[in-house]
Amino acid sequence: MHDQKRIVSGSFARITACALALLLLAGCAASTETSTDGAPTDGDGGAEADTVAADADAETLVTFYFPVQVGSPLEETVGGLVDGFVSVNPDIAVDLVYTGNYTQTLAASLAAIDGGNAPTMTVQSVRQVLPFIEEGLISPISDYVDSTTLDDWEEAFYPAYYNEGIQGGELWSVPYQRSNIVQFWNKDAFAEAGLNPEVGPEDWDELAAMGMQVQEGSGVNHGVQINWGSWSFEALAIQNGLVLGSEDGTEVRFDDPATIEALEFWVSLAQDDGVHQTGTLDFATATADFIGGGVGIHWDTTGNLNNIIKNADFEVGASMLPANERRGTPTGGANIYIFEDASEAERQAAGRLIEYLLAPEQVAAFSMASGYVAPRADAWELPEMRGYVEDVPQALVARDQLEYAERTLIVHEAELVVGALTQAIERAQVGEASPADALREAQQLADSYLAPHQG
Amino acid sequence: MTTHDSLQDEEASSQAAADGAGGAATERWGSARRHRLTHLGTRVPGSTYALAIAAPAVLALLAFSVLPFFLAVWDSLQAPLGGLGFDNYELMVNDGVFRRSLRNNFVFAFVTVPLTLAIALVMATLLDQSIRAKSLFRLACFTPAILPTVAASAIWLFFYQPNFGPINQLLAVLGLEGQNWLGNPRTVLPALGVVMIWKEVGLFMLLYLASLHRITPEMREASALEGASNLRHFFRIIVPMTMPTTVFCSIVATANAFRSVDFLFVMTRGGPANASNLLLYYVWESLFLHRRWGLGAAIAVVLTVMLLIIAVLQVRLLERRTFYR
Repeated sequence: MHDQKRIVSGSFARITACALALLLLAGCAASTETSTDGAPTDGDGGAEADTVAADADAETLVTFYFPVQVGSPLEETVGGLVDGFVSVNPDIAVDLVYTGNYTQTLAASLAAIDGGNAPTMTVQSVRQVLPFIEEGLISPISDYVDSTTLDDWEEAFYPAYYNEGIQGGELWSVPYQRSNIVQFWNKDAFAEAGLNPEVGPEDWDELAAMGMQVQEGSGVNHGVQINWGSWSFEALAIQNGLVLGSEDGTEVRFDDPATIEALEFWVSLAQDDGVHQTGTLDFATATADFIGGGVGIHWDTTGNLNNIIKNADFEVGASMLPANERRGTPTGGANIYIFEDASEAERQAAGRLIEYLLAPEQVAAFSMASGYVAPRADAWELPEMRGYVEDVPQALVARDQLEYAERTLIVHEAELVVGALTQAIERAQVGEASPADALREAQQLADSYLAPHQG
Repeated sequence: MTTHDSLQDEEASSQAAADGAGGAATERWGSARRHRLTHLGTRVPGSTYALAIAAPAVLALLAFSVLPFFLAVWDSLQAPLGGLGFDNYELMVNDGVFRRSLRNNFVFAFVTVPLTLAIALVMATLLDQSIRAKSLFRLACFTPAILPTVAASAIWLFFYQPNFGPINQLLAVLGLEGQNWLGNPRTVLPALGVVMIWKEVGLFMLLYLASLHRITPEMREASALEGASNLRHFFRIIVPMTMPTTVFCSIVATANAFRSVDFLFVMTRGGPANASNLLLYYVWESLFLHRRWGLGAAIAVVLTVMLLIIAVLQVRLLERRTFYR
């Protein structure tokens, strides 16, 4: 497996020099501290002059790759939290590197590791836990925090999130910016269309019917917008009574009749009812579309909650997703990982930073700035958090919806398998294939990718 | 065809004559300068001198182009189950996404490159006239080329947005039906092609402008004397006289059509359903997302070899129709 990691260099490096400027930016940001990376700087205080929140006497430098997937300026929030950590831990300096969205951050991390310049820790999609373990890229978090912390975490964190980081009995990653999918609606448009603005659709029939009414009775272009492709599709499948992936991550059920029916429903909203955008829509512009008043009912990550509420000039309703056979949403968002290739001292320091970031106060601060679900129950009991949910009651939706949440697709060959599903959804959405044909094809592809991991 | 060729030869020789007369002064100045340079060079043997001059460039080329290419070849030949073999190439050929990206990329290149060059040449010809605020127009045309692609792509993403994007709003004002430009497999490549042309045309216009400056004003006067229309002057004088630039630009533009994929990261990520996936983006996906190192290396090798072949063909084909001074 380590051989595989090595084989990233190649002629593409030259060809892409221009094209991947985007990624190289992240890479360059990482390479500027090459001299201090890999080994702790022995009292050589000036070396980390360019680091965020660096301390002159710092001995260990933690390089932290941080992604932002949504439309809020979260790098400032995290920067503030990290500053707080450094001020009480003068022996540690933290280089917080904002590395784009999840995918760009993943690419930057893999490239840096391959270049012998591994970051110490990162926040990354929960889906990466199996690939990371398999490729030997991460160290168990449990090796770098003490047992009282572990006990505290186990008691305080919501199991739906916490358990996803546990693989083979070990804690490989911990929940950080965690989410699920929330149903938002434009209350003003609802009122204009003669709907009760305080109540969103409760089931699939209401979703289609209310979508129709708000589209016809108000100024919106579309009654319904289901954002985020395959992730939202997981929600539809769960609502139709099926979890797409097996617990051990070796099997998927893309061609199950319940899955096919879920996709048929989604496609019919656009193609039959005409209440949903036909074709595909970029997730950033879809959120902007709702904020701009162009959509009646909009599904989005709760991580976009504050972005939506702050920027929309109408009253925003928020509720759990509608039910069909049952209520449901997949879990979502990202966990914290520690990279195996970082030095032992760095990893120890990262453990302390993680303990700090996951304490109730810090977790609450991050949740309030974004709308991501504070993943531990006691954070919600803090006075500042209580005050916040009084002002923004929509923030409670995702937390309460956890009761109905199922594990998101955490599978081997995650990107390939989810990519096959995404392709099937898009083929059905653009009318290239029927939902049944597209999903059967995706199943075959996924089976071929998963075959080496089965049995 | 023969009459056309002979006419062109005539024009070419008249150009050479005009040039010979006008260039005499330059020639004298040039030889004096060359003499000083050769004098300097006599202390070192010519071949050593040449080697020394070329060494940094050759070393950089070896280290960053040739060596990585052979490393990629080596990587692509690693069979997944150990040993050497063509397994990755087999995987590649049977991969639907690869085949689609290949087809997309050829369509993309062969439509956008000629359009880019044609627009660039026409714009350069127009801006070469003595018009008011010429520099302002030139700057305006060149702006897209100096904007960061990612930022520009993010703006285009919103331009194309079906519900609130300005393009559809403009169409609505004109009474036309808008499109989901980037969310429909039929419109996504043309939409990206427009962005590519918009982005690239400024640079090539600049190169053409430089090339137009080398055409002596006498040519214009001769055309006027002969009573040739502007259109005739354009096709009979400007197009052939700028052919060396066209050769160069077409190679660069073709290479760009295969390697400039940054806008895909922002605008479509290859979607919907790979309708806008291009080879280099798929290389990136294979390597960094899917972690299929062998497959990614194989596609990168194929891409490089393909570009080399295209470049050689272009030089061969276009050189026949090219007149170098």
